[in-house]
Amino acid sequence: MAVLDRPEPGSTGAHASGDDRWRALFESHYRELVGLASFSVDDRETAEEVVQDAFVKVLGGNYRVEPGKELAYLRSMVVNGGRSQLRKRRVRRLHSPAAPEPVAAAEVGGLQGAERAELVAALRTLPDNQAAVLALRYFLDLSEAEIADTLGMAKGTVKSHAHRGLQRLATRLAAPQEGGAS
Amino acid sequence: MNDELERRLRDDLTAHAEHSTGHLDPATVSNRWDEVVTRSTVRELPARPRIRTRVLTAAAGVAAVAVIGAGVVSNGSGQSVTSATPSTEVQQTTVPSTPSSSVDDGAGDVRGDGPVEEPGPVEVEVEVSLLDADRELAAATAATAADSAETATAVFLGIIGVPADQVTLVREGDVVRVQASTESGAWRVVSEVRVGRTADDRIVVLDAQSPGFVELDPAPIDHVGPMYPVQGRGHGFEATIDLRLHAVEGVPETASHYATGDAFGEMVPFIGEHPVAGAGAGWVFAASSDPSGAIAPFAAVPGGWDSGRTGDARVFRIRPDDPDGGLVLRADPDGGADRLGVIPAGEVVETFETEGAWVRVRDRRGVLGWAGSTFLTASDAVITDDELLAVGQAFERAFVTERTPEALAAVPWADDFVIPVGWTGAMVDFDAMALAAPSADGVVVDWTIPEDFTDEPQRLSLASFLGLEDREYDLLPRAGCCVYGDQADIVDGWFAGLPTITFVDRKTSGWQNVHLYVEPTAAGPRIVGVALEIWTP
Repeated sequence: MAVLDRPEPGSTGAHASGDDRWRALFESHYRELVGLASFSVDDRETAEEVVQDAFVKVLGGNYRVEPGKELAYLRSMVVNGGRSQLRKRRVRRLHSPAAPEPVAAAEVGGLQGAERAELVAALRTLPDNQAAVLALRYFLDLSEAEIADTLGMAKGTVKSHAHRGLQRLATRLAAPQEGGAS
Repeated sequence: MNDELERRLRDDLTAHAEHSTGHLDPATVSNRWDEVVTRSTVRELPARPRIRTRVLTAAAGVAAVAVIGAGVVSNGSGQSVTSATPSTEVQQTTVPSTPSSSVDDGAGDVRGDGPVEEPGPVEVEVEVSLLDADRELAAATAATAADSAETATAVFLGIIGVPADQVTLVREGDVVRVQASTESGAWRVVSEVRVGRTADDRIVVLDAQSPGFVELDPAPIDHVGPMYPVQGRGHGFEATIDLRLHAVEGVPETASHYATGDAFGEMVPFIGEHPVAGAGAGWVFAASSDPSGAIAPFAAVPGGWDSGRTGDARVFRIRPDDPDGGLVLRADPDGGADRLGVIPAGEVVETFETEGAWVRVRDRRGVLGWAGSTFLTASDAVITDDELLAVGQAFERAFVTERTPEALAAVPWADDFVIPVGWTGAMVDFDAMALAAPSADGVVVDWTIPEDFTDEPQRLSLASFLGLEDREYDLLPRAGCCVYGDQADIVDGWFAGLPTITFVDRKTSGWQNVHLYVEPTAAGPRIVGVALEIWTP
């Protein structure tokens, strides 16, 4: 009889034995993927959660992933998951007038840290695809073809997003910060 | 300039990622893998589950909604939010036995006053109907039968995805309460399912509550203008989001006191001031026995989680003298007042105060307005508790459970009657018009009609409602991907099963999901409501 079930104590689950490839990907790319997610979310825990959610989904067997495309698929899921988290955070902040702006623990490193935070914050304001293209290009150093494959878009579109994203990012970074104390 | 910016991007993104992942040594990564494997073995539902529970419906020819009250807590901002935090202290972790509890097979409520049985294992049969996983799990869930603790817990885990060690079983008389309280970041989710034994010795889910997210963060998601926080997603740990809910037709502002946006089976959460005195925050059981298949979650009965319903709703039917006619609904008790719409003949309305020959009514969409009282049938139907329970339980057996021939025979209209998940009755916020307007950057909205959406008048109505009649548009039949201009977005599965449109404002990067509530009718799908999910950067 099939029932909604939970894992038996001590069980490693139905997927553990058969999916060494996912484990290998996890071990070799987990940090990279968490880093990718970190551009969209505020804290490490959420970044890890985004990545883990992606793996849980693929391990759950609900997704058919073309052999050889696993990493691109995971990157895509992480990008989407991260942006989804970003939206939720935006809503929380929008509707929480008294909420202090979170200061990422990562950004307490003085001027350099502040500049990094500024850049990441500016990146988060970009449209999803532009931000994703820039992250994949400049963090993972992917080629246009690889980015196109990851995001499921044409190479020309990747180029367009990169161009617009850079333009917009430059504008954002050049703009004076609102509400500054000085 | 670009060279410098590109260099900065490379350096800063790498540094940021390094800092974010610096704690992830190989051993930690290995531990994370184990966690992922464990999570993946817990049945993660591809869509928000739909729990079929006790459904309260009116006697034939009338319709009603019962408000099952839940605790009301402050979310810290002066707003009341729904909480299912039970008052009962949780003590037991197993269910050693269950005294006799009986559910009158179609006519009675669960009772706890029967003779005490010998202690022993309790068979639990929990039926969970899943929106999008029916094919995969329907047979399994329909056949689910095991000892009470394990099954109820397993089902509960499947429903809300909480860790097993945070699920507690409590026996209260004839009812087993499965309860979870899980903290995740700033949120604590509290959910519970009550199961009881039927007269034929089956254990069924009586109620499922997951009004969910009690806020731990002192900075709450707040009530903003006409938007209401939606509580009780009941699936995972998603934070509350805000929805603006709309119906296709106009509803005066007073109706916006309803705040839903999520449904749990036939239950839709209700938050806010209800026009019916005594009703407070809680869950609304929405159902109808209208043989036309109309969904009429408009009447309301104040009540409480523990006390049960305490009042009666008065509902009336529009006199069906003219099958093609209807009753004009006006904004004020005046023949010259603005027309809000026309209620078709034969439809049922809920009535409120009167003024002269006018009576204030609410139609099945939730539209509140004034109508001539003489057009209502003289025989007002007062719904009693017993009637509701009797019909509701017959309804549950016919529709909610396995649709056995016997059950269907008992309620022949059951097959025609579907409450779409997310159905809200009616919510209107005319900001939809503004939201649909193109931004200064010129949002390109590319719409097409799905093959299975055949109701052209409804399509046009929706387009008109959204102010998009001059545009081509796309109604995706499922939560999915919509592309506008150079934007693409994947809609989360929260509303899987609902046709969803996503607008992305290229100027602000804000976006809106438009969730369409579509009810199946003999003539094809029909849009009965629209919800806008708004994210603003």
